[in-house]
Amino acid sequence: MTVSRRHFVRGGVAAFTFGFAAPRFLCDIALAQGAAFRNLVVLYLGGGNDSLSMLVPYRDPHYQSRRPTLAVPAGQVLQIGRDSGGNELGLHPRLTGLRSIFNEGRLALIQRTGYENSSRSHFQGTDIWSTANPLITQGPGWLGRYLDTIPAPVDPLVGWSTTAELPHSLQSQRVAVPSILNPATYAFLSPNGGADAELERAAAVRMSFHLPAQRPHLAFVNASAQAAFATLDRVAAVGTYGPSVTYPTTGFGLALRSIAGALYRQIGTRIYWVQTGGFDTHAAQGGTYPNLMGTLNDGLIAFYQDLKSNGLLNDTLILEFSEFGRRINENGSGGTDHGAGSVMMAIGGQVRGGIYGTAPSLVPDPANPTLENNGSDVRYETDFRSVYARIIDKWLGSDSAAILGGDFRTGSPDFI
Amino acid sequence: VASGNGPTPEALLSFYLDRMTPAPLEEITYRSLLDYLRGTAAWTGSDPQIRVKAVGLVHLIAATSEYQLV
Repeated sequence: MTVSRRHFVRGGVAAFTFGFAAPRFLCDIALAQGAAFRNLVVLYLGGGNDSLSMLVPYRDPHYQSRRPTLAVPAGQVLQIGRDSGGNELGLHPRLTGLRSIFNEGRLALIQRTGYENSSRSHFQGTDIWSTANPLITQGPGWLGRYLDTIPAPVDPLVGWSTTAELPHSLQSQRVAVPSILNPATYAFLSPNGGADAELERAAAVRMSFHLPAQRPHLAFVNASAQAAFATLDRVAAVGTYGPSVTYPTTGFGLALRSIAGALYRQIGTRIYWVQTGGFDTHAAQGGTYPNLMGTLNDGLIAFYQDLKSNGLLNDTLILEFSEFGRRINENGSGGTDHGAGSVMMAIGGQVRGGIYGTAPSLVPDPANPTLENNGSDVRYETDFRSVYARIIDKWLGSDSAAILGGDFRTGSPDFI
Repeated sequence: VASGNGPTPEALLSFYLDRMTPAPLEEITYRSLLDYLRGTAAWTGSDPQIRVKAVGLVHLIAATSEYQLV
């Protein structure tokens, strides 16, 4: 196998991680920074989730007529009551676990979240939700900007992405967040074994601690390697976690299992990122969407029950979002196209569960104030940044106005 | 190199540095690579020993910041 320099650098953290004991001072930082803070697990549904199939306004007379083949029948939805506008709502029939969480009062459903002039582009929409800025979609993400407020030195494991590539939301100016798909494989890779592998690691550790001031680019790489050393033992401990429940063997389920292990081992991570895709349901949605809901439900209920069994629920908040909702009318391919407003969810032991906001009226009238795009799409009611603001202020204990670049507290749903 | 001629650790290291052409090594980097070659067992320069050490050495050189940033 040939390894180019570019390949090595790109895969560097994964290919060149180390099994030595973390430096004591870095462990102390982790303990100090992790002990006093809550955990936030951000869940991204990739592709644009069809919120009208997840949280169903099954009594709306136009729901069935605008979705003749995709509408979830009223008799199948999992009824959860009415919103403040009197609209009767139900969850998708595959969301039985989420309904039990709802019944426990620990699931908040925030309807019609979005922003003005919603983008229908996956890339731009994702960037907008990542930066929390519809006008300037480049630069650090909103979670990265939060991480930048943490006083130095910052623990290398303060954030953890369970995806192969770091999501835009977690990109920051000065904090490097590792992408760790599988704790069991996050280990030193040596071409040799036994004593020679140990010697190799010893040499690598020694080199990483050399930070030449006159060659800052070398110091940067060595410092990154040093940070990787500091994470290894803690991540390895996550790999040996034995959960209290059986997780589904989907990628999503296994990612949540890793996060539960990290929470249980108290490794000090504050922000976790997990995602599951396939929500861009332009065609044959009737066949695929139940599976998407099944993956979501089965992973989340296992995670919830595991945290609950281990007494971790009160310290954990799960926030779900997608880059946009989908069009109200189904298309000619048995699917739905890109829309606007969607539903956000929050789950956790300190969440004030319930239905927030109001469902749209699906009357296909351009003058319908709950719709946009000539009555084609759901218009937002709650600015998604007000949800972020609530989490930053009330959960992370930081200053949302500084991080979001504006005050979005007004009208923020009080789910925590 | 692995022809049984018994190169010294310094010679083996020079051989690979010449071919992999990293930036000039920091002294501690150079010494760390040599320490890896010398290891705990006596250096013999035998083919079996070099087969083990050479792959580890290349892995280590590729991991140095001097190599990654050339």
